[in-house]
Amino acid sequence: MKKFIVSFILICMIIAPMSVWAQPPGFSGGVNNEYEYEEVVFITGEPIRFIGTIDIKGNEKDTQKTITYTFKLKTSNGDKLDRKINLETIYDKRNDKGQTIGQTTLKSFKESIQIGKNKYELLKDGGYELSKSDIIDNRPASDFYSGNLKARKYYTINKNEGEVIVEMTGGNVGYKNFWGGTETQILDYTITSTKKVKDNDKEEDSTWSATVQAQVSDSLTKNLRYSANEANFSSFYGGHIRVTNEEMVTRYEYDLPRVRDDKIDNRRRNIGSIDIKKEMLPKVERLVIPKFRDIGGHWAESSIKKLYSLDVFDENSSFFKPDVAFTRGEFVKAVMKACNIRPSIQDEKKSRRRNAPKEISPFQDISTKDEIYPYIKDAVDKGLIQGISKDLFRAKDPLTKAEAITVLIKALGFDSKAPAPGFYTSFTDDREIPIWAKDSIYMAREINLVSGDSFNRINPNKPITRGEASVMLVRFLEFLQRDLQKDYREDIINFH
Amino acid sequence: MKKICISIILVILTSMMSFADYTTPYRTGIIEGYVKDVADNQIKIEEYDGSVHLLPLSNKAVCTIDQIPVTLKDFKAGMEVFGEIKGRSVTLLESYSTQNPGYIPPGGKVRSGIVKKIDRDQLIIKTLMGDETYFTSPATITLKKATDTQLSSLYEGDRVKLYFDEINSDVISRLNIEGNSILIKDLYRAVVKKADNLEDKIVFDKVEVFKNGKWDEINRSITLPYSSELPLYIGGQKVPYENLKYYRGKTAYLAMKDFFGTEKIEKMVLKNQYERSYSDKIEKINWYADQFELKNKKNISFTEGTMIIKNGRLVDKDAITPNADAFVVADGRGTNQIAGVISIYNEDLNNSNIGQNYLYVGRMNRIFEDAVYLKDFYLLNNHEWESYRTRRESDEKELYYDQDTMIYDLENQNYVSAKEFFAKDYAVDEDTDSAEDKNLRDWYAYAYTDGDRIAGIMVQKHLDSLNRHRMTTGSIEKIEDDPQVGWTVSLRDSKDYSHRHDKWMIKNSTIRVNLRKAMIIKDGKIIEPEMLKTSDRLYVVRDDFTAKVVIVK
Repeated sequence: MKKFIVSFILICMIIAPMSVWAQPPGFSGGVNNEYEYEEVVFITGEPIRFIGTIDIKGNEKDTQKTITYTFKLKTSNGDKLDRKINLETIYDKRNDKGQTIGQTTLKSFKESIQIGKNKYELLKDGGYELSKSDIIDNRPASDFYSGNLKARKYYTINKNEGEVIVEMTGGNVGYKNFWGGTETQILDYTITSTKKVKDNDKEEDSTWSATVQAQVSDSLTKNLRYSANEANFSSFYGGHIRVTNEEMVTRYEYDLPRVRDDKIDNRRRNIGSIDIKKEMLPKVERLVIPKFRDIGGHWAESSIKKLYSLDVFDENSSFFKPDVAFTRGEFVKAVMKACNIRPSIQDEKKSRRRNAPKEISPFQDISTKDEIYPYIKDAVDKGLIQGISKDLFRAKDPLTKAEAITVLIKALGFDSKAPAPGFYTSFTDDREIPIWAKDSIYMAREINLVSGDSFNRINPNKPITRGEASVMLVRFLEFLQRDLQKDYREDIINFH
Repeated sequence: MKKICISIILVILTSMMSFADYTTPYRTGIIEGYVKDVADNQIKIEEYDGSVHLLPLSNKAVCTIDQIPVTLKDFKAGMEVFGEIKGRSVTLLESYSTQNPGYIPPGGKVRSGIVKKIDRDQLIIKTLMGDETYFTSPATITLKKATDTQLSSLYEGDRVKLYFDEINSDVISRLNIEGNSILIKDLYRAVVKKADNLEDKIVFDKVEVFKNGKWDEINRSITLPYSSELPLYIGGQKVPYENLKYYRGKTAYLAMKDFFGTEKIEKMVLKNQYERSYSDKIEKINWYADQFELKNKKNISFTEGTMIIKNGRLVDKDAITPNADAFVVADGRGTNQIAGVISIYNEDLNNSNIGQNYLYVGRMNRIFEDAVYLKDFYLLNNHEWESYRTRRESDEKELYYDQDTMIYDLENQNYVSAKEFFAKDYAVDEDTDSAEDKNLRDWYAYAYTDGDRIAGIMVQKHLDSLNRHRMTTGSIEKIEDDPQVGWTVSLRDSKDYSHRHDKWMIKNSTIRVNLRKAMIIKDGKIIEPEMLKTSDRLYVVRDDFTAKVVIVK
């Protein structure tokens, strides 16, 4: 019985429900919220808006994900669209490189569109071919991915009155982390239609072609909002709320033939664009209230309060001591908590077998029993930070600015994008920058995480105070929440 | 004696041995040579002199390749290394591998921001980290919404992404300009009813839109999302968005942008005291006091919080220039007034001093294979046709054309190739018998040029009455193919240029302009009327209802 329960739990854990992550549904450029899905169909040579429901079902295992989209859509004229597609993604995890390759194929499909008197149906055999491949770079603080897609749809018109071929080429870029995720797809459709039409009792082929670009983005972000307490006689002034917002936007840009009096003129064009936006209802979570006595009026007050609300600082003291130096150990723990990087050692502990070898600390100055040990072990394993020598970590040493920046940039995995070695950063005290921090400081400047002081110095070897570190961490979280979203959505769609 | 001799020999021998040992790495503390092999925590190095050493790494050893910290495994056989030794173990190991130090892939350095100032090849960009200056070169690739365009299409207030090929370069290799999503669609005035800072949305009451020089009521109540990126101001003071709920009942001015088919507040200013609005020319600017004087002698201050709109874009206060025609909404009492909104509405053929676009009209005296000579020509200068008619025969304007020049024959309603343009009778020698017999005359042309190169030219048999022409700007409210008169646009927020007042005069209603006889220019090319879109901003040369030249800004 015990075995049965254990295996049942294990199965449940493996076939966990699909994790929520921002991804536009299907490859039609449509968007949805909780109750409605909307897309534009160009199959007749004219833009037609279809609105209806979408049902998404799927499950995700370690190396496999299946997903089924069922669309039931209508127009105000009574036109109908029914579509069901089943996709399977196989993940090839390259743990040594920290990367994953996803290969998506179409398992089954069915689609029929009734517009006026015409019925468009996907051919049963080979009517929809699709190949999609993604590369996911798994970095400690965020996953970044990019993929390509090639597909072709072959519709028949009223079984034998003609055909519409839709060629699809596209790509997607996205990121996913604790603070949000965005995926933007740019899909180019080439539509070629041939239909038999009767003209003066003669049957002729009417052919037209069109191009449509759909830029669709699904974005989820978590933001911190402050809410003041309305009551005076309360033990606190106000506190923070974590608000999760999700919205999908799409922009169709089309170059279609001009349709006049139901006649298609392929030489004259109808060029335009249609934008649609759908929002989900925000999710709100209240967070703990900081009650430090010594940060009132301090320039870093709001950052400290935000981080405390997020449990990044978990001390129960009434004094935060914002102008005292932050230590290496505290910062590692703070970064891991702020990005919700859960130390893998905690997971291991739960499943540790009795005869497993005893955990040995790689550093002489940190014991495995130390509260900070799991964070440091994981940060070192993930390459965020190194000991000051092979066997000494010095967790209680003051943290320098160069160390702090290096941890943050390595958490994003952006250090690998630094120029080939042998470059100078734009800071006037470039020669003061330790060799191990140069790549990170260069990249931190590039992504606007840090800037120089009034003399354009970065002061890399200056110990960083708890207040300064808090401000830097909050800026880092803003980068994960806002800067990434803007770069992956507005900066792609509005510039493309 | 023997003993003494032996000991002397021994002393000499040992001292000789120690001399031989003097250059070994263990004595000098330095080793240089080639890596022969790398084992677990040990490295075998062949010195340049051929001696081979197997050395362990100390616990504190620092290994670098090109000054980047690495592990011992990264050293490969054959690499040249330099090491420092303490005791008998290596404490420092350095090697070199990079071919191109400081290399980034082309376009590997990116900056994004808002264009603050354009001065020929110099752009000042407002980035998250402050103002930065960059330069364009003739090799700079300019794209607007991923489509090739000219650098002259750039405006102050545009959002750009700049790409550089080298890390220390200030010269832009590629410049991407945001498309029409940057434009401020409408200016609203509304009363704050309720603020929801969980969703960044505000419910407004009594919403009015600024249209055709006045506030028109559009809706009783409306919910609008805002972008919390640009701070909120009241009377020049910053207000945190979470305090917005304390301003319920206050009037707000809203700069609206289109956000994927919905409206979004890009910038908002709250009214503090009493409103007064002016539509006049800015005469002088006092940058020390952040004040300007209007032509009607009113002094108005401006602050960081003032919403300044120019060319349909939100701009920085540095974009206010003397002689600008502006609609100003001032907030205050008595003589103490702060500008809440400044909407600068002068429009020119060129967006900045990068552009060298001109509009000519004149008689085509001679047409060569690549050039056309205009005689008795007029040049559009300060929104007025300036005559260059002289008696001298040699006073001609030489303009060049090529196969990319679009030539439109208005009489025959068709495009003409460069060869036909040269071969046909668009310019004749009017004094010859054959010309007189056939009743041929020189034709007239409207030429839109980039410097002296004609980008688009429209030719017609007779010269229009240029005195009747009026220069008008406005944005398209509606475009339709009228069955009676052909393609016609309705322009809102239109202004006519008045020479007597030397300023743009706001019209109080939407005007209709017919495009049947017009040359429409967009991005330096002639386009068909059906390519125009609503909210496109136009500069029109018109004779009442009939447009002659339309330039899409």
